[in-house]
Amino acid sequence: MDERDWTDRPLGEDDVLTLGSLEVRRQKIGPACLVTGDLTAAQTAFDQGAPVGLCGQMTPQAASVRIARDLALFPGGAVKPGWHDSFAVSDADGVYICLSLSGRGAKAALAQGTSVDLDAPSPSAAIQFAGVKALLTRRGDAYLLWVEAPMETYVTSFLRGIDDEAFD
Amino acid sequence: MSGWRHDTLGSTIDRNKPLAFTFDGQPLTGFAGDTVASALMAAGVQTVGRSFKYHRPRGLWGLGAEEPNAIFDITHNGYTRPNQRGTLVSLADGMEVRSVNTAPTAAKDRWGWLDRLHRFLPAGFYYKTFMAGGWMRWEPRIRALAGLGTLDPDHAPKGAAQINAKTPLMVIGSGPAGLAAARAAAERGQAVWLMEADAALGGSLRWRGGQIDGQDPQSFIDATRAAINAAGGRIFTGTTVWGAFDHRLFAAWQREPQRHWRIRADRVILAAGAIERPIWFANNDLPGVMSAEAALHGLRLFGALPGKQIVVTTANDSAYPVAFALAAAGVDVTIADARPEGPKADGVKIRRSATVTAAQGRTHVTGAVINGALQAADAILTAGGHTPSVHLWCQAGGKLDWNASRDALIPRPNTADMTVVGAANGSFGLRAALSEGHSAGDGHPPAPSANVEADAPYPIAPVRPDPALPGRQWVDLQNDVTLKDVGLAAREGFTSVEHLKRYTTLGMATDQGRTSNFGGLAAMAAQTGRTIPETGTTTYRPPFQPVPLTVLGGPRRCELFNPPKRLALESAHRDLGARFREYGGWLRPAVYGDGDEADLAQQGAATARKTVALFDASPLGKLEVIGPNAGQLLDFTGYVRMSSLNPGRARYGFMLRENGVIFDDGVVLRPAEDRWIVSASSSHVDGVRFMLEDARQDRLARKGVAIHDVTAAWTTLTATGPRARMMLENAGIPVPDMPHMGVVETALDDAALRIARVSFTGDLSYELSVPTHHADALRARLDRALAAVDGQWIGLESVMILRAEKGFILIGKDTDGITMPHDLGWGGPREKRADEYLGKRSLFTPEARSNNRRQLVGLTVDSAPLVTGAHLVPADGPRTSLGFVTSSYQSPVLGRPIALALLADGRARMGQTIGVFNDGTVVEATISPLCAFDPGGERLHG
Repeated sequence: MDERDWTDRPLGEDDVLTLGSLEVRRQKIGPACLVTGDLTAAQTAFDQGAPVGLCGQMTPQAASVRIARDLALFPGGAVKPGWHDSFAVSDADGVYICLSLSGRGAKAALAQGTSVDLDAPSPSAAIQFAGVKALLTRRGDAYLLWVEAPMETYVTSFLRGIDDEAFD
Repeated sequence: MSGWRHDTLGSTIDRNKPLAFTFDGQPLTGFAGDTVASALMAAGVQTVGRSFKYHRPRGLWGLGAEEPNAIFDITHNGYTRPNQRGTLVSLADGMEVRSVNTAPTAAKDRWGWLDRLHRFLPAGFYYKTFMAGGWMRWEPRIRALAGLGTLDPDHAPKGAAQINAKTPLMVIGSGPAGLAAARAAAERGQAVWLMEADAALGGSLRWRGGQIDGQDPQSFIDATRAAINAAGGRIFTGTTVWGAFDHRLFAAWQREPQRHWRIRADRVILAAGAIERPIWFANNDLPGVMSAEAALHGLRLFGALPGKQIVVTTANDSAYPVAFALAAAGVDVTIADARPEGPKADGVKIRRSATVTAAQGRTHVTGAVINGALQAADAILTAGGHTPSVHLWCQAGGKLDWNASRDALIPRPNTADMTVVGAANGSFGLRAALSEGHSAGDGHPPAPSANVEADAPYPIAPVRPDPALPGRQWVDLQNDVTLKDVGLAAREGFTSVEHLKRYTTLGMATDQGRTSNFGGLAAMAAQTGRTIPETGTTTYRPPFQPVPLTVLGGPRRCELFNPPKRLALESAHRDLGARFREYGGWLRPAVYGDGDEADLAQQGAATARKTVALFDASPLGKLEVIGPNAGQLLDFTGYVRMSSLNPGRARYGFMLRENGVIFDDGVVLRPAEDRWIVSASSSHVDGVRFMLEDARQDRLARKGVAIHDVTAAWTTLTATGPRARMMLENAGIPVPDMPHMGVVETALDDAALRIARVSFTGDLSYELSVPTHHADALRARLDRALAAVDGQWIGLESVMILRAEKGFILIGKDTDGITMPHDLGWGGPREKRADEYLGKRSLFTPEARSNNRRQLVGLTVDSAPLVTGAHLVPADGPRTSLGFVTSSYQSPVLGRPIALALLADGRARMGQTIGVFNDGTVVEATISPLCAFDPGGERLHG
């Protein structure tokens, strides 16, 4: 193919892709920041519960996502960027976009994107999805797939081709 | 073969639904429920393909994945699938079926004359014959003749979905043993996945019949299906489990719809059945010679029969029900049983102690020679015993033991992490299969009972190839290996089965040697005076049957194969007329506007030198390194010390690998006391982060420092050129007085704005970074101010010219896998730094100290721009490579070509003339300083 022929476009905020029994919605997310170091101390500073891990349920009180042993994505704004005794904070608005996957085809879509056992608990929400880094959490019945923003178009293109009936 | 369709028999076909299809262009008709193979047999097609080497006519032999002959390219619904086994493909209306390796058709193949040369083409002939003149001389011609199906790019199949799944129990095979296992487990509440390669459940129950618990097999199948569904299990038909891998990972190909499953199973029961062995006699490859089991399968399921006057040759009881069924269908049947005794055979002629020694016929069977006497026949069915399907068992590491009473190699218990039951375990009888399956599924006793004719165990007389028989006996039908070839291999010393396989190609065809391996192994054992267990088997490797590359490859191809990262402002750039290319993993504007790309790049570079140009530099890495130990970390991981950098300043540096070779270069900013930003090359961001993270975790134990990749959080637009500052002021952007390599953090439109006065062009440049959600506002603001200063947007092609004019390098382009910093003229830290840093010790090895290292220099030429990659050679004397051109452009501002090159001892040759060799031509160039434009740096600092 010609290297200029990438045709797809990113989703706008709140745009919805309906792909058979799978619904993909670009979730609006607020300010965010990356935090490394003592996450317990960061929880206090950010007034947050423990960061959720793989497929963890996100709530207003549990709105942070654990990426690695001492790295998490927290809601932004509460703490200034920089070093804070035992942890560091960086503004990270726009590093990730969040896709909500819902409907009967959501599990099929995830099974085609990742080999991770979604029923096995993991303190880290980090996965490989369709070959790229991502985070996976839940809100209610929907799965929230956090993808690095520059790969959003690729991931939505990948989702357009999934077989949503694989588990029917 | 005189195939025909019985008027009433055929349990799976729907005679009310005729289906039209073509075979090699010939219009034919079958019925819904047919396979392609059964439809061809019923239509009387005798030759379905040609053999691989001799192009001998070949007919249908088997009933499933073991089929060696009926291999087709099939076009249907706009897709062409090459090399499909006709026994596994359901017939569909409008199918175009073409034989493979034939020209123009299987029946009239113009390469059939090759068979007359068979005396000159024994096994291994090409290893000996085609040495003359070199293999490369012959290879293209042989390749043109060889091969099977043809790829059809106009009708390429779509990539299959790749699906990861897990199950507590997977049962592979839905014959009686598999059904019993699945049902027993499901009735205990286990969610079973039952995998069946055929289009329907039942395995041999579908054509062998019998009674289970006093009911017909279909009732047993239905009850099993209901139990699996009730327990939350899943049933896959038309799905082949083709590979067993570590940690109980199994790969399965589902054919309709096309899906590729990667299944992790907590427990596996293998009930893959067994394959009927052939019997060997002269001309045993003629169309009309086929497996007795396959004939019964064709009759019972499809009403398709291979002939009307049939000889059944056997040495065990399993062929008798076949003969009875054929006779009941109106066929004249003769059984030739090698044993002196056997079951009674009412309604069929039977000859005891009788063997078929040859098949008669030129293009198909016309007779069988039994004990030396010719008997008219239009088909010969062979029943030489059964070979358990142990491929998955062996792939999983299982071992085999020889069992003489069953005349088969069977799984040795507890050598692989699965349970094998039924015929795959050498238990060929229905009762034994049900019992083993039920037990493996942890069923409550009693196991289902069975009542079936000719149930094993029964006396089996081993049948082996007989080298004393005259004529050619085929051991491997698909790869044209004869018994004589096995003998030749033995005589030439290839007595190991692995050597036999490679020398003769026995068992290497796409049928995976299912019908040939045992015969070859038995023949080699006889030739060498060894037993079968002493001779051993070849290694079983995935796939169990050929899997299309479109299935393995999945949907990630074309746009999804190697997707680039996308800019936040991509749409805006497209609106500005950008033409995109991939640079370092990002899709970025190459040039803007219409017309020749090279001209546009030149024009953009000229504008940047004259007025001002804007480009999107967002992909440049932004790795924030924060904390009291950040300076210490950067000092260790960098070639240039960064801890001494003052806040508000930036410094250029390198990161080396442990071998001292440059991994990346870039500017490190220090916007605040406790915070650095590493501007890694756009393609090296992850690599640099990993190297920093390695040192953070190993050297600093994660204390006092953090690394955050916030590249995607910021959009960076760079204004470069003599009017850059003027344009920013016109745009209302407050630019404080700042020196070259100065950094400030300020605000614009209530959003953060970082201004860095760093330059990749050698001109006055400002990198403006804003949070990505403010990117378009900044872009619009700059865009409005651009016209007033006669500026323009430029793409990466112009930037490449500008940086090369200044001698600024691109890692990986102007450096290679051995370039060290002192090769670029950056020897200072190497000579002065006393502390440890990554790669330091490698900079002092004898190789690193060599005087003849390739060093980066500039080249000046009067002719056209040099070819990038062209070798540098001595201007006089013998031609030897001294290095190569790394970057070459026409400089619009200088009005002449410029080039950078890595040259052995380059700096010592400054001013000398050197040859530049490309495509047989040498042009002369003058070795010059790296920087061709503004060497004093007035524009940079102005």
